[in-house]
Amino acid sequence: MTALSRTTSKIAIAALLFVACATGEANAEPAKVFQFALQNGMQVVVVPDHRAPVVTQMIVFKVGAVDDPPGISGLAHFFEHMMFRGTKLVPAGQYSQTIARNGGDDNAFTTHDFTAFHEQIAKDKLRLVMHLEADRMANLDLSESAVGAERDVVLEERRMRTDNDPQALTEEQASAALYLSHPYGRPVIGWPDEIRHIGRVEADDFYKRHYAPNNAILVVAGDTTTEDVRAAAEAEYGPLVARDLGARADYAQPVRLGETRISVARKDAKVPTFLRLYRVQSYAEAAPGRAEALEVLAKLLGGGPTSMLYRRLVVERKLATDVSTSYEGYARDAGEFALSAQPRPGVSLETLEHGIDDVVAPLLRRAPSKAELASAKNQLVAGVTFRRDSQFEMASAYGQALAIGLTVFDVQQWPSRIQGVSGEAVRKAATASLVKKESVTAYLTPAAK
Amino acid sequence: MKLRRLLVFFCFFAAAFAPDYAAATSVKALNVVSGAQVWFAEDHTVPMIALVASLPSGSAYDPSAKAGTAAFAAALLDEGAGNLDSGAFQDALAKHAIQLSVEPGRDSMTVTLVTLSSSAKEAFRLLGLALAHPRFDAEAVARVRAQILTELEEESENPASVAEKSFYSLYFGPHAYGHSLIGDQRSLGAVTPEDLRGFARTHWVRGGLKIALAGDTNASAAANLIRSTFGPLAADAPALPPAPGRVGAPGVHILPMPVPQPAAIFALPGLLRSDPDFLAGYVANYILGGGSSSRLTQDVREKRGLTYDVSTDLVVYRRSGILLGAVATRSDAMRQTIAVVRETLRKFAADGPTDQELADAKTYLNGSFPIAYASDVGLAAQLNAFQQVGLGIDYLDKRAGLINAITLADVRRAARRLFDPSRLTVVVAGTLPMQKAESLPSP
Repeated sequence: MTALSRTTSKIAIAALLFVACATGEANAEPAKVFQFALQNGMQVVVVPDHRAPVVTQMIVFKVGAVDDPPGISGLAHFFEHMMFRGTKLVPAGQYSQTIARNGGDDNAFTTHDFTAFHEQIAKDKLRLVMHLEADRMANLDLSESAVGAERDVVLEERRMRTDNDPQALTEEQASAALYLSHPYGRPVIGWPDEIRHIGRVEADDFYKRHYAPNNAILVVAGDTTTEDVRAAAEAEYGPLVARDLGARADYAQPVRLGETRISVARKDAKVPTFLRLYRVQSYAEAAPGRAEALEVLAKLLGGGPTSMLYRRLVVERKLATDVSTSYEGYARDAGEFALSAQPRPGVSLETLEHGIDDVVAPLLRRAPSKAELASAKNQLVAGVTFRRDSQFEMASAYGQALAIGLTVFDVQQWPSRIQGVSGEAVRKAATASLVKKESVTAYLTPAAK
Repeated sequence: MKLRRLLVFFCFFAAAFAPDYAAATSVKALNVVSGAQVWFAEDHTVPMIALVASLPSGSAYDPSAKAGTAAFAAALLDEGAGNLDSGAFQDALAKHAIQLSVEPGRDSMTVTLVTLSSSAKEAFRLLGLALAHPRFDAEAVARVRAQILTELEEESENPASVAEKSFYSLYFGPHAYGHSLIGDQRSLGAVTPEDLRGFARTHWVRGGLKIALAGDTNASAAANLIRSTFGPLAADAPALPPAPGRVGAPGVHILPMPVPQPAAIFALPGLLRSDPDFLAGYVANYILGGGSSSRLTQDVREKRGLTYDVSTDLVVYRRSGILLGAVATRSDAMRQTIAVVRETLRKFAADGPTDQELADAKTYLNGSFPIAYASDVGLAAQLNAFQQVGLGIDYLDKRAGLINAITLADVRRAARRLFDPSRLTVVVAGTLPMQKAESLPSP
């Protein structure tokens, strides 16, 4: 569930490597957050933070790569790019230029489930960026030549992010195998031959089906108040008319009958890599507490230098130079638990895999120790406080949660739910989720020249 | 520790201060550790503290034949100190959710410490221990050496990294700025734990130390934390490396590599931060390739669809400056892309910016500055970036006026001085289609 952004903004890129975002505070005063809706169905969330006279606006549309039509993977991401290509009022090239001229930064990103556009700017320019967003939500002017040039830009983006990078290609193959026919297996950026199929007609149709106020969530974080946001949003977004949205296909997540194993040998790879992906439950699917237990499990197993896998494989057994795990649970359908490692020179991927399984297996039989559990939970909960330092992170946390059907309350309660995860819940989550037939294991090896 | 290596371009992106939007947070200088510059911004919005400190411990100080020593030592900062071995030190950080990271640079090592304010004492105690009493135990040294060697292998897969590394070597030649930040296989093999200990003793010092602190504490508590953490360090700063002599290697240098998308670095001599034309050059760079709507973005990406990203930065080192650009495109479009870059440079040098471009640059550079004040981590990083290039705290108030005072003639002069396509050093990592002449025609 890769997030791709429109430009390699120095500000946004680091922050976009987020996996689990959530906010609120278990042990300290929670961030005060306000929510309301406009008549046309647009949802609005306000996260005040008055330390600097700056605001962040983020608009999240509940449309993503999952909604790419058959044969045109990459359309949602491509369309995100087209949103910068101009309207009658703000012609091509003028959108980002207008924001920059007013001292603001802007960017956008696309995931499988949603597409987000964001700006950070002085607080007295909030009305301006709302005006610009409202204009391009309704009045985008797509020309054939702009579509052609942007298609080339996206193909270059794909070469940079994926085709040039054997690790990224291997991940793409593993995802494609993991989800079977579900579109989470298609790359957000699209397959190259299908990106080439995108034309003006497809883009325009996509726009009409998905870009409407009743499919959007507005989050404003920063030096503002609910009253100010309400007045400005009603004036700028209020006049937009709700539309009939294209129905979202209800894709099956087919039963997996056995594990999949892939070997990728490439001349451009220098470092062997082990990767295993598990299809697991997401926040949207899981019973209360299960997704939170998976967060704790990911932290305990491979979240940093004190994690079980790092200690055992990197420090003690010297089988790996690095190992890490992650849980991506903010999805409308399945979530993903990933485990990746690089062997020490001279160690085979088979030996490394056995070493990993030797660490994972005991977790299925007994709960982690109290000290391990407490350390993992404290780090996760402190992470929430650290994310409150960033308007972008706050806007993303609420935007992505609402986009997959969670609530503001869910986000605010996350730290206390994490604190409530027991060792036994972690063991049960591991047993239920780290199941071989729900997994794809990929070996990437350097090929002989 | 995983090294945070945020591109060479990090140096000078955000800048300028606008009094019209003066931030609520004020920045104070604290005079607590002799030899060190300490700036503090009090802010209680979130119960956390961020510290960004840089020490005169960059790769330019690497002993000859032991390139990568500085980065190697930096990577071991959280691998054990005092009576805590690697595991015990990491446990202490994790137990309190303390985030300690380090970024090796050419001039400096930059340390970032982020902690809940409730754990501040422990966080600063651990950092103090790490800087003053690092252990460099044999096990940790061997393990981290293996990690850096793997990182070197990974870099050799990536055309952008290959181009950048070769560029520094070609551009600076034998000068200490020319070698890889993390060394190479041979030089790393020569570094012993004793070398690392010696290097830390002479470079993790308070002479030349720059510290920026922001967040949930007050000035006297901040002063105490800083004093106890950095006070015990040795006083003497190492001698600054000499300035490089001749720099640059004009022409196009191609490193064949079978990748779908070759990457290029293109560069020209830049400006020292003390140069009277620096800010004019900074504005010129913003218009050329620094901003999201820059001339290069328009000419290369928007009009022609040749790339996903093209940008330039005016990179500042203590002893040198570079106008450094990067672009990547498919093999059969690289020569055209380089030609477009040259033409954009030539036209800018010949005609200068428009009135509108200059006005837009000023409103962006001044108007966007308060964004740095919207986060503790961001503010500490921005303040430290100013400190690293030798600016005083008064610069925070003067900056907007200095930028607003820049004239069209200033930017024209800087552009003529900087944007000379005939001096352009271009390094391409990737295999390009055959062409009769190996070097590209200058437009």
